[in-house]
Amino acid sequence: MTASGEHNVDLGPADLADGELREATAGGLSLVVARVEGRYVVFETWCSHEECPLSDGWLEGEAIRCACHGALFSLTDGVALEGPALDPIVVVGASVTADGRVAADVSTLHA
Amino acid sequence: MSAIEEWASRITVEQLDTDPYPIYARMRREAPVCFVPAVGLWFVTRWADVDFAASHTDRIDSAVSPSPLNRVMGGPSILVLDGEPQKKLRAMLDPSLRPRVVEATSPDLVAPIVEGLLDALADRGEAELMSEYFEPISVLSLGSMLGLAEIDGDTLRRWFHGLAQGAVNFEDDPARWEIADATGEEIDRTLAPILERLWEVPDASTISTMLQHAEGSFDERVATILPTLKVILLGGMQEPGHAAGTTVAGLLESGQAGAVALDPAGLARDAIEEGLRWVAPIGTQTRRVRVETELGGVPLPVGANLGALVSSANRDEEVWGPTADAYDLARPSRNHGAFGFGPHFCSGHHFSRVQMRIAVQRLFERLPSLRSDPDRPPVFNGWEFRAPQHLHVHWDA
Repeated sequence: MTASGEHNVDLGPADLADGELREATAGGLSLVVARVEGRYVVFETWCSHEECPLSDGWLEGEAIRCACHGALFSLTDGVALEGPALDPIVVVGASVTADGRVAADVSTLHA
Repeated sequence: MSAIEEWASRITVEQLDTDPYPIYARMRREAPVCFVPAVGLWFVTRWADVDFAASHTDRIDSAVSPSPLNRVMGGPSILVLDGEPQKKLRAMLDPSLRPRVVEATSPDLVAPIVEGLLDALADRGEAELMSEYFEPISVLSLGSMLGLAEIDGDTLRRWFHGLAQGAVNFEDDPARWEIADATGEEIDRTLAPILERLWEVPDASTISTMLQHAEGSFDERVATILPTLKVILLGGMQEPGHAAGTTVAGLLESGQAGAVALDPAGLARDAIEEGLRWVAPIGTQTRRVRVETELGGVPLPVGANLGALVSSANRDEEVWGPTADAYDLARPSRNHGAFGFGPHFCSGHHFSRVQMRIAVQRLFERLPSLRSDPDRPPVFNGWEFRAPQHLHVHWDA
């Protein structure tokens, strides 16, 4: 927990380059931290199609591609842009703290 | 008989082939699940119902009977199987079609084909893009990946055209069967020595991978995979070319080609996704009711055959808004149903998309002044498969 809010969790150093992602865990949640166009986003790792880990995927512009079957999700609003997924993923915005750490409110993500 | 049932009883295959969309629109409004005697199918037209029909295999499965597919493919293929048999066939296909494999191998496979065709066209200033560009890219790209690089593009195109005659033959037209049957027999004869060679000397091709993953003797493995191979020879070879042609036709018809010409790398993806939505190259997933089910307010008995119309789902106003019938490059991006719903979602979708993006992007990069031939506008045809029959264009050579 950081001092910035009840739901904000520390997700490690803000050291990613644009287009990079990494796994993270917080409060039992398997998460992905990504840097997209200069901003950090956080989303749960499980693809809404067959729950493959999106942490194995890659970023395509402002979207994440699932490595299993090729589903593509917007990292603006989580909408499935390409199938086979139909359901969205939950994406939350993240901030960088004064001491260079990624923090995010993950209360809307599910374990 | 109600007024809508009477109207549906008068629908002809010719009307569907000419333009099915006004028919689907009326059904979505007045009878979203509607029996069409001309093809012997209950048409399912709304997005939510199409998703349900294609996704709930415990209630609605793929074993449509009678179906032209088993005859065309020479046996049960991946399209008509569910559960474990379908998963086994998917497991044979998926390794070569995983996104990471496609991203690593497809650009180097597709780009030379695209550049070679553009080199041949560039100085002419005119072309018919379906037969001279999009279909050759489609067949040669997939042919190479499958392990059929030795088969020329004209033969592969003739094969998918021939198989398509049978696959859409819900009206049991003998003339269509004659073409489809002859094509199937030719494919069997041509592939026999190739399959033997790949069995003796495996390689990284899709056909070799399928042979290795199948079970039993060589003959048993061939019997297992050959009908599914024919599905790929039809759908995998025809649809990317058709969808790419539809995309360019949509751009030209709507006056939005210029935007793509200014930024082909940035807009090719959006253009293709909207093209796939606007006119899905495969219009339906046919299904059979196995447990009495109510869909769209209609009680469907066991054995009822359904046409879950992905092409209609892609125009559902509840999902796509009042401009659903228009090709709109600026439409907010979201997933469409062109590659199907449920467990039978197209396993080759990523390869198809990568191929189409390269084809459309390079077309506009090399021929930015592309425009329609006003004397020969594109004419779309088909309801089960739909695409421009011809796409005549000009450019400043």
